[in-house]
Amino acid sequence: MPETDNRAQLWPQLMARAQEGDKYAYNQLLKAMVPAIRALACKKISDAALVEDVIQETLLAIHRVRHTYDPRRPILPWVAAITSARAIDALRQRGRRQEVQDEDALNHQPAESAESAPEADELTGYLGNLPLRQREIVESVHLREQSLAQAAAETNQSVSAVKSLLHRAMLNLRKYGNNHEKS
Amino acid sequence: MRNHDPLIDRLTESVKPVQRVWPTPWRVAGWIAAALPCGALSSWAFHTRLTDWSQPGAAVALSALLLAFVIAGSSVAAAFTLSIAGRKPVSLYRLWLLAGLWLTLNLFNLSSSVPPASAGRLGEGIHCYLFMLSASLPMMLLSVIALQRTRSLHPAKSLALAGCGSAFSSSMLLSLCHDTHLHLIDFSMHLAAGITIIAITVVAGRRWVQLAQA
Repeated sequence: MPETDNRAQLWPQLMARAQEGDKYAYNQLLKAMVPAIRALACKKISDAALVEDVIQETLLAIHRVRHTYDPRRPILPWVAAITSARAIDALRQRGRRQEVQDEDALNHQPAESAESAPEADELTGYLGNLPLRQREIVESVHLREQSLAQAAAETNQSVSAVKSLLHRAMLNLRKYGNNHEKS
Repeated sequence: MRNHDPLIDRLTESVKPVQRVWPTPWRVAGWIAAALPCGALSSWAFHTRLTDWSQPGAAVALSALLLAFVIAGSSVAAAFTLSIAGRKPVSLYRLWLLAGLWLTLNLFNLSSSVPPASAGRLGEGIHCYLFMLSASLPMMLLSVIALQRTRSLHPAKSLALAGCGSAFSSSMLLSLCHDTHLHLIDFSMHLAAGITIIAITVVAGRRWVQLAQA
């Protein structure tokens, strides 16, 4: 980022003034930092909405730890480390939320996923990519609308094993879906 | 693209002068100056005798004591450095090397010395364990307070390093009122105390040190 590097040459002075309570310098600095933070966040995250969340979180973090910056040192590594940590946290949190949603979907609404499934041909294509056992479970639970217990009895597995297979299948389907959208 | 100017304007309105964090060597010096006397005071109840440095094995024990002091200072310095965004501690590899050397010295002491009558009793080891825990309590508190000032992007690592500093500092204090020779059970309890101190520091301090809770 040579352009950012050039612009960032003034940032240590602005931050030093901000640490002394200069509101104008602080406002200028944070506004100047936003494009650099966005560029750094985009290296880790492809989802535009999440990138904007990370920018906000990074601005808040910079505000909280502004006293840790030493104006004799370059400022970009300091900003980059904060942005990187916020981006990783955001990705982790999103991952956790998705896991919970998947669990809820498996436990409470097995039929909804089938209703909101893509076109039949497309679905067959996606299912064809799944390993055999995962495909059988998805067909039993989501297409033939069997309960988890019925699917478990039919395939001689425990209910928790069926849930686990179903969970992995949903993750794979999502992955295939994302790849399909990109291509 | 979202407009972040309203947030920036809000943050600007709340900005006040802040005091910059001291350079790491000063912070470490301050920590040592406060932690060692506090540790000595908090473990006062467990002081039974002063080390007799005329005993055989004193040279090895003294070397281990000095090494523990160096490791404690280096660990705390690494913890403080790591807690500041964008900075990396000088070398964790060097720290591991010193810790390995300290372990080797103690194992050498373990194998070469003639144990006293009380050595090998579990009670002696438990006494050492409690001594180290009580000595490290104020040190852990000081570490968390110091790290809370800067917060950390790597709270677990920073706290583990700070806990390591407290463990070696309390081990150093223990060496001042301990036989110069070690016994296996005794030394195992020293190690167990060190691990306990690190674990307590990480678990108890995490909430106060992580940036998200600022």
